[in-house]
Amino acid sequence: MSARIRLIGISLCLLSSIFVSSAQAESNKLPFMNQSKIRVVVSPGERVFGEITLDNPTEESKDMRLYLEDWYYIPGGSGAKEFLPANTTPASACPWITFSPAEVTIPPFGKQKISYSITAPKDATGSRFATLFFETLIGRGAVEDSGRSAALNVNVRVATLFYVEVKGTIKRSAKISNLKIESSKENKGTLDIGLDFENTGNTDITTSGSFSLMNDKGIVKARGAFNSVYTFPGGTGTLLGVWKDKIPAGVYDLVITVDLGKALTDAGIGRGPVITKEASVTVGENNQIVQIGQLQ
Amino acid sequence: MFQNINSKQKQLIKEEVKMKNILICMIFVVVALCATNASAATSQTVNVNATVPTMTGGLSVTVSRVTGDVWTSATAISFGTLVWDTVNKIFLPSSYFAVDIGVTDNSGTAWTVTHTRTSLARSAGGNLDNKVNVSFVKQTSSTASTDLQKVSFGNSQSIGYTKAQLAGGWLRIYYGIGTGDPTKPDAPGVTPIGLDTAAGTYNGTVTITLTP
Repeated sequence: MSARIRLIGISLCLLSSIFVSSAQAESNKLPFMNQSKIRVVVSPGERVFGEITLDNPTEESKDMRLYLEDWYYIPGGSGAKEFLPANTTPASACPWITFSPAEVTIPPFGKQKISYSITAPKDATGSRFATLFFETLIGRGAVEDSGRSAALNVNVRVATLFYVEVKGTIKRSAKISNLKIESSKENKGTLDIGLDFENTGNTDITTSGSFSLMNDKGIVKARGAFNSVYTFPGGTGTLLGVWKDKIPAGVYDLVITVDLGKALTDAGIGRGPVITKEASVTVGENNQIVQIGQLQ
Repeated sequence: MFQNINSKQKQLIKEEVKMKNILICMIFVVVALCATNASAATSQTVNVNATVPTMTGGLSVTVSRVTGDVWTSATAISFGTLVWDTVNKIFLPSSYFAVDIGVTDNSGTAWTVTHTRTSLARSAGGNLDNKVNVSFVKQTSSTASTDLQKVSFGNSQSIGYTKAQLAGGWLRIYYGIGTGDPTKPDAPGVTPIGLDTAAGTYNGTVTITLTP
């Protein structure tokens, strides 16, 4: 009898531990998508088609609502974005995009294809941008009618960004100026190399840049990469590079290379253009910058 | 008689020789096979292919109700009916909430998780936007964390964290009604709910957005 009770006790313990662990592990996983950025080059008057696949990795069906919004890079070039209702920005691609279906229920471990088309008007020029959101309501907050009651619904959404370039009308150009080389305020002995970046073209630009400091014999004494800067037309940002090691005193040639076509390379649809700038830099003892020549 | 025995012995010897020959042949075949296999093993190239699919936009969100030290699973942030604290003369809930946000992405995308909200409002007017704390925390384990920022619900619009900022951890967001407790200060601008806050039901929405 006591053995049976012990067995029942152990079984209950096991069952309760299973319930506790499942409660702790309960999370709302959203379906994966196969494309988070879609960059399309389309001729004026042309229509292009494509598909996005959503993949539900869970054992529960997922309801999702799809809708378009506008977006732009927040000034500063960090890549942070602001989202706005559809058709509210001058560079909105929302009027050019249609998609179907607008609401989906993806079965457990199932897939769902979303078809889209992009039509550029005949007089279209430059680039347009939009985002397609996939939104799920995780939980609706329960409010009570007595006294003071408060609740928040929880929504989650993921985005696919659209970059639409009108073929033959794209100008990818930038102005790089105001070279600064100074000791880092945060890390002693480290040099910060900074440049102002301005997108002077009519499309988005994501940069990939590098610098090298060469002595009069052409030997590289310092080399590094700049952060990526993300801008829309007219947008500005700062290219920042860091050099941590000691540079022997002397006169150097600083060569700066900035690729304006990183987004094209990432999308596998093109390259460049590349901007190269040079300046003479005189370094004193202990990485002291004595003189910076004109950026050419 | 002897002839008979002799012929039988001869037959036996013949069969033995036959058996020996068969055995020798078998050994040759086995050796040859082994040799072939061995040489094949040294010279053959076996190509191994595996395709890892791109998985992007993988967002998982876990909502937990925290009552004292007890964490229980939830789907939404329901503070329920607030209870009058006779000592501090404020309304308080029995729980606060934690939302854990995990991102699964192998595309190399520099993603951002952004918090947006609609007003925690009463249909008849008024809101609790400055009565609720929203704390953003980077969790590096279930017990280790770094505070990112603590703001009022009203000021929690469009607060984003990048993949680089959350490297080595995940984002946790706490939602709690202001307590006025000086040992655990409320966010700037947050005050407890007193009798000056109109009775009624207050409802709002938070949206967690994952963008590339």
